[in-house]
Amino acid sequence: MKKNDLFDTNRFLITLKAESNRLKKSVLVNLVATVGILFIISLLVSGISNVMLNFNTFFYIGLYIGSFIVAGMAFPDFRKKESTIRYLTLPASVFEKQVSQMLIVFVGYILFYVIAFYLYWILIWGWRHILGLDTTFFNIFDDPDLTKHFITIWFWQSVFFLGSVWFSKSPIIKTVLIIFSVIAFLSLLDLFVITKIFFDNYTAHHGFIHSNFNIEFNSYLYYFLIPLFWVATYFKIKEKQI
Amino acid sequence: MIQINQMYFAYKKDIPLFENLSLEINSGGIYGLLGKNGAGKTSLIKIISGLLFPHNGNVNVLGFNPPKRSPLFLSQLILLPEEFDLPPMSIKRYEEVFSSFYPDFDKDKFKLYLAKFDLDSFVLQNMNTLSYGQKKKALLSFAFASNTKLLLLDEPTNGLDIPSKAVFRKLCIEASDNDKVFIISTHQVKDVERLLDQIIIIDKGKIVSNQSINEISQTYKFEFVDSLDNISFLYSEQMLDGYKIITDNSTNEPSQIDIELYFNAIINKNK
Repeated sequence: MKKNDLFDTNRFLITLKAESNRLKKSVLVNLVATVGILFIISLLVSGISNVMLNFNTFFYIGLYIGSFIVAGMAFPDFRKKESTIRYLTLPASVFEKQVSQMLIVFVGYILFYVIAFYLYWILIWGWRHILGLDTTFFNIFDDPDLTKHFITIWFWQSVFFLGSVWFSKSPIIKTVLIIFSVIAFLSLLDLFVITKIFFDNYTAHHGFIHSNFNIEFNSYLYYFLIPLFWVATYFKIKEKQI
Repeated sequence: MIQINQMYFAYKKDIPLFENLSLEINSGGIYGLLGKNGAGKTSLIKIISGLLFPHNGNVNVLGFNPPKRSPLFLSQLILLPEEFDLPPMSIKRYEEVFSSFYPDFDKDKFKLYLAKFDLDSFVLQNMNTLSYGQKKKALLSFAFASNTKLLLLDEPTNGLDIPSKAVFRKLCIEASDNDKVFIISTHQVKDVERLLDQIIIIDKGKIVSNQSINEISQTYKFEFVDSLDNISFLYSEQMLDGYKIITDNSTNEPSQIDIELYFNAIINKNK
């Protein structure tokens, strides 16, 4: 392997520039749509009454949904045969291409979402202030589960990210179907096999997957699975033929 | 520059497209890759550019193994497929974003080539709003200005108007040199007839001819005769008013080549 076959800073920066150009539309549309929907819901729910808005819930609903969609829309060039040719022959390494997409999807989108959410909060605050209604200040760092949320978001983003490379057509829908199939399979496995074999206190409503032990186990599993999905994405791009 | 040795490739198991295909291109020039529909021209171009992986055999292009898609290798090649997709941006923006990937990209030449293709007034327009021919001319200008060692053009004259075909030929000659290999895959042989240095004919998964224009013109004579009576020929084709024939060139003096006739002769011989 030649010295800078994997990573070259200059090449990475121009790749990032090219990828930003390619993804900016989907990121912007997603941000405007997510925050716009939140804004309309907020106005409908409590824009005219003194009901306190739970910004924390709103923040995470928007962030979860928006970030999954953005991750599912990554690698837009793989949606068409013609653009796949252009993408695969772009003189950058798979690593540089993947990292630049990840920076936009896993970091950039979340940063922009936070900025957009605060803009939304200011708008809501202004609207309610005009009406003489109170609004609580929203501080994301107040949330003790912030890290857990981000790990969960990155985990599911990684799943959708892999799906965007795996499926050329309708990657989001196909990834959701796969997720449901896997969950259904694991639930059945949990219900009929794991709990019955390894745990005597087997009940149909409280299996291994739902046990307290497993909640802790899940968070560790995320740390293991996130890089695994990234590696799988890398090799899927590397092995792509058109 | 390109060495393919005993290469095997199949889209479907047990139905090989290429079986023991070997091809060697050792010097720069403009190569015409000809073949019937489904002969594997586009697939061969994709294998050379690393878009398809051969199942067996050796493929070495510019000293690289194409399936690895090394960035250094990719920065030395441009593939312009017959059907392409462009990002929604202007020609100017396209140049700003993508030219940096090609170390020898010449911005002045790009401007010049665009002007020759009458595209200089469209540089700020979104490329997706341009016609197919205009998009192709923009991509051809970019490809020539990139100064890459390998240029793979699949049906480059499809969609070009008559004046643009002449411009394409001029630019092809202007941009080529002894260090660069241009491979033009086409069915429109008339468009590139006087352009090619070498003709590669692919049929039934094999390279059935790989000869320079000089060799062909010194070996064969391409003539038109009214009748075949008392004429010794290697291949003939009946026309409305006579026959096109290929004969041995006993004088060894270069003759004007009819590529279409030569192609048909090779394909018929291979039947």
